[in-house]
Amino acid sequence: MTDPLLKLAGLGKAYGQVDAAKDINLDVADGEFVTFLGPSGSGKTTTLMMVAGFTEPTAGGISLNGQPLDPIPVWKRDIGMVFQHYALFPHMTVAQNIAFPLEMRGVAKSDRRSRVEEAMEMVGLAGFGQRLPKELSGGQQQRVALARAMVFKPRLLLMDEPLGALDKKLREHMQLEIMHLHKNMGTTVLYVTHDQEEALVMSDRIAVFSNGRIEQVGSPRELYEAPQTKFVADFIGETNFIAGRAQGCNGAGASVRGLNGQLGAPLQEGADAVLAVRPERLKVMNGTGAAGGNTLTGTVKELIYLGQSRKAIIALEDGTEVAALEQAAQAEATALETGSQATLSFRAEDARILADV
Amino acid sequence: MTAGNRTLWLLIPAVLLIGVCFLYPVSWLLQRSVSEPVWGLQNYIAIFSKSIYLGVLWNTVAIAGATTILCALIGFPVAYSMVHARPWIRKLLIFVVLIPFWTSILVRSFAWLVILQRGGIINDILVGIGMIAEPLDIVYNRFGVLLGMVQVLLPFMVFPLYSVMARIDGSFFRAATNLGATPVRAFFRVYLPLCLPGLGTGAMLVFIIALGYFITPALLGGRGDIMIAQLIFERIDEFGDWPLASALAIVLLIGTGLLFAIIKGVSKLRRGRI
Repeated sequence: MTDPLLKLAGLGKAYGQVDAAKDINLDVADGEFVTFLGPSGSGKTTTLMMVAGFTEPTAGGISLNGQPLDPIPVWKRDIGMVFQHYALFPHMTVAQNIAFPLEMRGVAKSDRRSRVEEAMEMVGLAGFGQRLPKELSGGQQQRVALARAMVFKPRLLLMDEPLGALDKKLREHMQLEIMHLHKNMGTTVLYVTHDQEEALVMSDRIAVFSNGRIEQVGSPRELYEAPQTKFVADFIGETNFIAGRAQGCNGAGASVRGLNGQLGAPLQEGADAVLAVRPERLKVMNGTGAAGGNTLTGTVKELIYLGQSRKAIIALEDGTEVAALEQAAQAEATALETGSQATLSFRAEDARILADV
Repeated sequence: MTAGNRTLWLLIPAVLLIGVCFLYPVSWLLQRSVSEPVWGLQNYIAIFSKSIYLGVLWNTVAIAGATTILCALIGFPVAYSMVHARPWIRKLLIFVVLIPFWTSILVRSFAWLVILQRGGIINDILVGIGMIAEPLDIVYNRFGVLLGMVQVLLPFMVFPLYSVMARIDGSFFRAATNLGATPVRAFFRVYLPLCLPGLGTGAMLVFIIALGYFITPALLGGRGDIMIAQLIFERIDEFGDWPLASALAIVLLIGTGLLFAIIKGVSKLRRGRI
């Protein structure tokens, strides 16, 4: 890997005794789209604010292009930002808003106008220059905020839950648009969201935050298929957990309650552990037959029709509820009924064994 | 009885009050101002041609204007601190700003006299510690008038400003600095323009109330600080000159009304554009 564009090294922010962010280490390559994902209060926004310069770190440091950012004030960092509620200046027109960063940088008026036009075209708002922000829809305001943050060609673009205020349809549309912009402009993006679906769709890599720390960094596929902690497995997508003790740890695999899976991270023999397996990785059979390795039996508690798929909630003997997802055609073939017995099976490579904390 | 009728009935007390206590006396003043000593505009011509009256009109506008500017300069940082202070400091500030409101205007003006006059607290202290040889003239002049009026009218500037500032999201300022504005530029290009509605309302209230001020300039001012309300009182009390006093009152009323209409018109225009 070439030198990273952005480097967070041991970054932390403490408010008195409380660590809002602790020991954040992350390298972001030039042109990469990295998402900070986590529940509210997990430290993702605090970390973003430290990169922007609004919050001063109490530990560690940030460097951009190999230069330490800490002594540089916000207005000289040359980092674009899209705020949660856009923060468009209400007393300025769309064109004035987008021209603002150029004006602050002393760009000549004629040059300014052409770059503003260009930016408005880029976000599909050509001809809206004389409107006021309040005369635009939420999606249009979002685009203006994007144009304003990109018009001065910043080295890095930060986005703080930029789509949180939009409805689902528009949000999905804007996700694609932001991705296209990112591809076309080649800008490096740090994106904050608590919406795991959004993170999976948009990111090159995701950093999952929990309690002020990064739990795991990886591509969407890595995080979904190979979570290293129970928190990550739980936070991204839906997962079934079967609790027990780790046995037969051999470096790559282990078992919990006789069920085999891959080890997410090194684990001590006999430690409290969970076996995590995604609902769509479970094969459902009617009845109690076909016993073998990696099977579970239980009673069908609920059948949920989801259109293209069907979810079966199956209660195991010890009361643990396990969800299994089947595509519609497969579900019809299985012909389950509420109250009847069912057998679930899965491949060891589809299950992860993780420390239970 | 229809709903519309009922609403009309409810308005009767207010209509009576305004009619009896305001419209009737005002029309009576208007009539006297144009009918005595003979029908015509001679009283108004006198006001706008004689230098003593013009001087008072100018005084009135100048004192009200200076009061407004001083209230804005002092009120802005006070309102800003109130918005950004911790809750208990905010409560304390609101209380301090409001104290003059709860005190009688006479008590307040005499209190200033006790503090400011030649044998008053400030002069005694300054002479006592040897900083000055002769007592300073800090009352019975423009300084005294402005001090007294700014103190009384400050809340009318602070509270409109406060309510507007409290609604300005901090992210506007952050966005401005993020986009490359130094804090000073961010203040003048983004924060101050967003405060303008509050500043405008406050300035209008202070200026219009100040135009009709009477007791404070009468007690704390000198001969050169006579405002229009004092002149009206003097014309009636000393000379029994009701026609001229009536004309002055009408000039004050129309002037204030015009000003109000102009400010409203301007702000409507701005809102239409913005």
